[in-house]
Amino acid sequence: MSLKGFMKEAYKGKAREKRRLKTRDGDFVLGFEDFVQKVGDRPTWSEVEKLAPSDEKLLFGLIKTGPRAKKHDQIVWGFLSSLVAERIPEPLMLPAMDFAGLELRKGTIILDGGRGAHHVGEKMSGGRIVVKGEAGDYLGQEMAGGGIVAGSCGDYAFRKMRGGWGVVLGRAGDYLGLGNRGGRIVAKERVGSRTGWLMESGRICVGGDAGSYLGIMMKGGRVLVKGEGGAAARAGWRMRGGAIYARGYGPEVGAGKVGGKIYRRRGP
Amino acid sequence: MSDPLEKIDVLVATLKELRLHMGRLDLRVGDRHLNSQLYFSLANACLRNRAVLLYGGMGANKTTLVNLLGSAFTGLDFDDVENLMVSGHPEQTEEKMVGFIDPRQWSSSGGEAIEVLWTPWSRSNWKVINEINRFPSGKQNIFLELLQKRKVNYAGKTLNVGDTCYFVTMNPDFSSTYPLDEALLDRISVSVPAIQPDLLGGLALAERNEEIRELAKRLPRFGAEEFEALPRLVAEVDLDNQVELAVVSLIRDFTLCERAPGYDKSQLSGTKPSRGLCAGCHYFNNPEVCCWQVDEALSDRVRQDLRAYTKSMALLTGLADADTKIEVLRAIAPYVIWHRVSPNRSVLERPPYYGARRLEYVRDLVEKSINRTLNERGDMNMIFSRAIDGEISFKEAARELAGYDDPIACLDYIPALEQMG
Repeated sequence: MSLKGFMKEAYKGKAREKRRLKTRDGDFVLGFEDFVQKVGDRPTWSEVEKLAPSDEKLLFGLIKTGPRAKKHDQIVWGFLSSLVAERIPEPLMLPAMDFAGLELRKGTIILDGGRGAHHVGEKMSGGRIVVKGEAGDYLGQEMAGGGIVAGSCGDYAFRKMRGGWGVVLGRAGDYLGLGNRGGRIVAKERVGSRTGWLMESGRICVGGDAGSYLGIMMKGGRVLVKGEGGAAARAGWRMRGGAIYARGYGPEVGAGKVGGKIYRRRGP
Repeated sequence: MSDPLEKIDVLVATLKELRLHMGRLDLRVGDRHLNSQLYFSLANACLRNRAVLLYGGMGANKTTLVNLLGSAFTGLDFDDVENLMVSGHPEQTEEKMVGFIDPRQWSSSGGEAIEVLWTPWSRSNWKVINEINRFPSGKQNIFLELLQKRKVNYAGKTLNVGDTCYFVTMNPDFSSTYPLDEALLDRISVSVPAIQPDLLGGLALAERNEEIRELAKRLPRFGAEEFEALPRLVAEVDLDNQVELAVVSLIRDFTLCERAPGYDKSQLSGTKPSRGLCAGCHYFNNPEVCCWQVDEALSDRVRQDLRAYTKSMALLTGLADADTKIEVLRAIAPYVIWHRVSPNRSVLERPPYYGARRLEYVRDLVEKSINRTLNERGDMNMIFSRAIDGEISFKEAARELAGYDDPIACLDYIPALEQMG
């Protein structure tokens, strides 16, 4: 008997001699661990988007599972979280994890259940991210659009921000708005030192007091501090442009200043 | 001569009626629920030169069951069958088990050739090796030779033991047991867990109020002709192409490895899947693929055992002429394979296996392999067949097969077509 005859008998006529349907569309993806192995060493949005399954359920399954100990894996997961948020009409609820909403373009992500996730909303250009609770460092770093609301945040929040807005409902760490070239930031309670460092444009509004070196070496933009205590020592140190408004200042205010303006607010 | 199969049915019923064996119904063949310990022992009695290992804790009716069956099939008294058995302990010697030189020969003046007095165990065609792991490792080699060559050698003399049924019992690891050699395990055809009877079984056993040796006298006895007829009946069972294909595919699923020389896992030495061989492999962590989930390849001996026990079990369960022998293969294959392979620890340690359910682990792999062969490999098998039969070119077939994400297509079919083309 020929091999074909053997197979025909084995499959009782159910096997096709010619392929009529595509057997697969893209590679199988069996889990997050499997997916990250397909992504190169330096993951990019376009690469992850290309490899990601088109089925929303499968895509959602990928971000629900999988270990994320390595930074590479965290970045891939971050891209996937943004992809899911873009594709679904309702807000995406996720546990707060590093790189959530990475390069988000549209959609809404609500992060809950974690403490101090870093790099949330990094490089986002649209959409909304709500962090229920504490965000870690580098919140909204290099963001160009969209908006972030967080309960509080660590250091380097909204670093190199170019657009969009950020609201911190509680305290913010050091270096808020470092090197900003646009966008608006509101921190409703106390902020750490060096807020608005090297800022070129944009606005920062602080509801509480500010730490030392407020607006250090800033070149443009506006910083407003509403707290009763005002800004600590050396506000506006070596500033070259922009404006700082505060109720009061510590010692050595405006030391080495070559431009810009420092105002003392009297009203509420 | 009465029908041996009918007699086996009577034997099963009598064992139950006399409360001589009350095991759980842990083996499902088609829609029948059977006791694996009893039915694999019966299947082995229908075959020759194959060994079944009953593995379990003390008092699980391993040795007694085998001796009861031995009494029924050989027609000997229960005590005589018990006397035939060899049991493992460190002082057990080759002379006690196999045979010895008659000392009277030393005093005779003639220059006749030395005669060996073979023990009843050596000469018997129903060989029971009790508690094999109580034999020290070196002494286990005696059985390796016996199971391999079907011959017994002693003092330069050879006894051809002929067609024999081998039964082996074994306890889990205790302080006085020794590990079993992998080569010896590979020569054991089937390994069956001997599970303690459940509550109902225990209550039924409590009703037994006579000695086992007395009850054994009431078991049906097989004549020599009937016993010899059983292997012939098994040989008459035909396996359909579906079963044959599933068996070969199962062996290949366990054996193929993309990173092994010749894609053959049996070539691996030192490195193996559990030692990081599969890290980064395309198939690694794919739960549907078997290769990375076990360390060892399956030998052709496994294929022979799968075929033999599928036939034997089909005969016992009345499925010899049925169209559903694939269900028999599904049922028996895990028992043929699980003692021969080492599962991936990280998967085995997780639920639902908890590091303890090796048989279940292998059963799941077998299920996946057979289902994949039957449900997903049809098209690719047809493409390969058409190329072999000359209907399409090797190149065209290889190009089409490249679209299948299957180890057999990628590591078996395409290389074969490339070599032929």
